[in-house]
Amino acid sequence: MTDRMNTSTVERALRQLGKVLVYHREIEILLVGGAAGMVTGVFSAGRTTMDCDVMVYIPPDAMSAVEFAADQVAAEFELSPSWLNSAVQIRRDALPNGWEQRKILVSTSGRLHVLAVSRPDLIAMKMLAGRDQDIEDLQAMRLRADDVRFVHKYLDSLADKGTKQEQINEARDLLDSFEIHEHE
Amino acid sequence: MSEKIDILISQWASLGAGFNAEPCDGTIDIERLLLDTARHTSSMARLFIMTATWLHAYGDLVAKHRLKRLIRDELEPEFHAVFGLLLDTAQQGTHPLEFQTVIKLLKPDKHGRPLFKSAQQNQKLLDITRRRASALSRKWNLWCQPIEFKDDAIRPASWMMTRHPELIPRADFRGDLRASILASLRFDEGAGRSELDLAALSGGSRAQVRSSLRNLELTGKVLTQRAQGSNRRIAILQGAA
Repeated sequence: MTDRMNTSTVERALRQLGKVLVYHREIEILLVGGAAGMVTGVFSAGRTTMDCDVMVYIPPDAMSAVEFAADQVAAEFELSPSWLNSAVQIRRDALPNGWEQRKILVSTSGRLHVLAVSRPDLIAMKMLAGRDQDIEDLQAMRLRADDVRFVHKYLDSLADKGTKQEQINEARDLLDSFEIHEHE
Repeated sequence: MSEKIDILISQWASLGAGFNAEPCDGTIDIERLLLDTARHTSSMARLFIMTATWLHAYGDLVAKHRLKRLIRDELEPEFHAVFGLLLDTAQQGTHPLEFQTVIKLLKPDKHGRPLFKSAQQNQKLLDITRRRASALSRKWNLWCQPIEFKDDAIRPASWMMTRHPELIPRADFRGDLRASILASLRFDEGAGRSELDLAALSGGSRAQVRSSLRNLELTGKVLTQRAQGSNRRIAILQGAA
């Protein structure tokens, strides 16, 4: 198979991003949401979309350089100018504690290291978001008992981070509606 | 079911909806694609969201007269509410409301249920879905949460028009009857046989179709000529269309 057939547009765009990026030191970005699920193989690629939510930039001041490079990649790959979405940066507090130890290195291109949140982190964040597409994703992920424990712990931690109790309760309610699957 | 959705996704990808899927080749019957999407979107929320986003951005490309004709002739009643909600969602924020004339043909679901199958797995999930349902989805009796358009996952128009130059006249006509005539000549068997057939399949009246055909002939998009041994005038799609 050709490279084009083997890899998704997002993966090719992220590699190109590293190639065109100009910055004086190494950069890490953390993917969350559907793109993270897709590049880590948790979701079927064809069922996800081409936008990438980035929640963390290390160092933080690299964000503008990455966004500038993303504009070039958007033009080259004919993607939406906002395909790399940094707006989620403001929700960094929604990341489960200890995500740094669980993050997954997806690719390195030039000075850019692309990382993605792990499966339990993704489950926890999707449970909190709780949109219709998140519910579908969560069902496809076939939650296990350890996932449920992880999400409970995550939701317990959110009140201290300023998340509204109503939103936490909604997420708990949603979590309780899921069937628990055995380890496969 | 899954295979059918994969085909729909690859057609939408070809029209610039940002799925991570290989775009299919060839021309796409947008109106029939919309009907098929209404039939299958309950299995995939992202398909609904991306279609609504695409329609919000590129609604001008939809041939409205033909779409109404296809709803009457081909769309099973059980999908009318889904399609109504899809078009109603897409037209939010457009002035004038882009699909209002089409929506008038569609009615809400009789009983009330979640739009997506994922919400029908158990009573608890069903209750959550009903509680979180948007006002628009309640109007159609198909409960789903408010939809946010995913503009950051839509390809630019230039990408789509390069792949599908046949859509350029649709954009010029903003989806009026001329767009429906061109789409019928391209996709509906027998549409070019006579003015009467073309009117029936494109969704216009005979007088409207005759007038539109004159305009399309002027710009070289359609050629009309008398059928051999008959008084009928046949219509043939030209290269400019």
